[in-house]
Amino acid sequence: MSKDSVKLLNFWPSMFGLRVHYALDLKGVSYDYQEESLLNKSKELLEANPIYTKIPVLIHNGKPICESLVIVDYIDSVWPGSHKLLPEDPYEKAVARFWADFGDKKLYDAGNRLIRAMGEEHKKAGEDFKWALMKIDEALGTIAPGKPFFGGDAMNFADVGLAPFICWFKGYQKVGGFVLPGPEEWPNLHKWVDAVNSVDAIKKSTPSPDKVAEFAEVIRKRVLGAA
Amino acid sequence: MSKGSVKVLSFWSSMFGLRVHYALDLKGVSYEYQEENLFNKSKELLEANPIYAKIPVLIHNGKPICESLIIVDYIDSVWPNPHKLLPEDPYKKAVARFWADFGDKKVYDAGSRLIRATTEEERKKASEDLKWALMKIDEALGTIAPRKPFFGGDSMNFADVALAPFICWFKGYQKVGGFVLPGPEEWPNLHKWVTAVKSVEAIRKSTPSEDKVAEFAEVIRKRAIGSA
Repeated sequence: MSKDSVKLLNFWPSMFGLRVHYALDLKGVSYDYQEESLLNKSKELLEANPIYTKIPVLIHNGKPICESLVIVDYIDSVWPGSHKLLPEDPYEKAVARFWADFGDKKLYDAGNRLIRAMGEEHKKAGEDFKWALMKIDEALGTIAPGKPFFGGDAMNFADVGLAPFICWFKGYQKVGGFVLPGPEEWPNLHKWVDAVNSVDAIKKSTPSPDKVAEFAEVIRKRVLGAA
Repeated sequence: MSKGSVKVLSFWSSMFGLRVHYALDLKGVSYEYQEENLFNKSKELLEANPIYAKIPVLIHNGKPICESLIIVDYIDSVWPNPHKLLPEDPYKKAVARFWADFGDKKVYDAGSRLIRATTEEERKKASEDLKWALMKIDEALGTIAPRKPFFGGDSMNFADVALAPFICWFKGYQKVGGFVLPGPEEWPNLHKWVTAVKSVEAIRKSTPSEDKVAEFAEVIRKRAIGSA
């Protein structure tokens, strides 16, 4: 691995930050980690990401890259040799990008509403969240039938885009007051979760689901308190 | 040019659909166009995009590709020449992707809120946000491609294709949202960029008339107020 300075600015429960961890760890890239306090952002973060002032930010040889999926795409371009994440075939690549993006549009969106919404909106958020996971279960069966990952035998861009939400399942269920369907209903999803959880590189940076659930409850209490 | 059946399902005023037009037209790819009625979506659209049921959709040799930036990325992969849209250099590529995405997160978002605002407070905030977003684009052009017309330098790249479709909506945003676009003295780079984009033949091919878009923006606005 070339001598490079690679630094990740992040916040420990962020699923977006986790995408970057996963990409770097799957490829065996060494990097520095800087935990950011979102209520007291470092000067470095504000200078690296002046447009959004958000984590994650990857700083590679002094140059900042922002937005998690743009960062993962960048990582895959700079370190293609080890564990290529984007398929070479244009159509397969488009499918992988679509499902990674689905994580933002449908999974994150519903999960965020589960934590911050009230009443009817909160109930709808739970239904939307379950719908999104059901679609992922169906997609796994269509795109990679009989295989553990979207990428087949190994994680690809879609897997890295979606896997960070797994450690949030416990938290979403707690604040949402629902239980996710089991393997009889969603066999592909559960097989995928088990497969992801068994990858060493993934285990390296994934926060404990219990800690994440605690964190989710803290935010929810704050939201309810302010209501 | 590889032979294949290429079809675009879109709606004439959609800036997302326009991204697809621009990518295909810049590359000289022939394609069929199907106008969708968003209140009566075709069976083909619903089958091609069951997750979002939205346009644009590109159907290439029978296979559907959805989400405008993913479609543009796909087009650039299948037809890398002529007119490669994504830079080879990973960092330059990331910068191009960032600004394309900025179009969704900050320009579209503010513009959409501006048109659909039901209170003066909402309208004012949306207008400020849209102004901020365009100011950032002006600054970015100066930093990324100083003294060049486009994000891509002398020709349009991925970022230009993603942001250019909003140009034909400026009149609508101004008419409907009371948003006034600062002039070239304040935003020299943005105005140079707009002029440069409008002078590209391939861009003129599919860009709808600004007046028609402004009319359409008023229709959306009336509907939004009506249902408030």
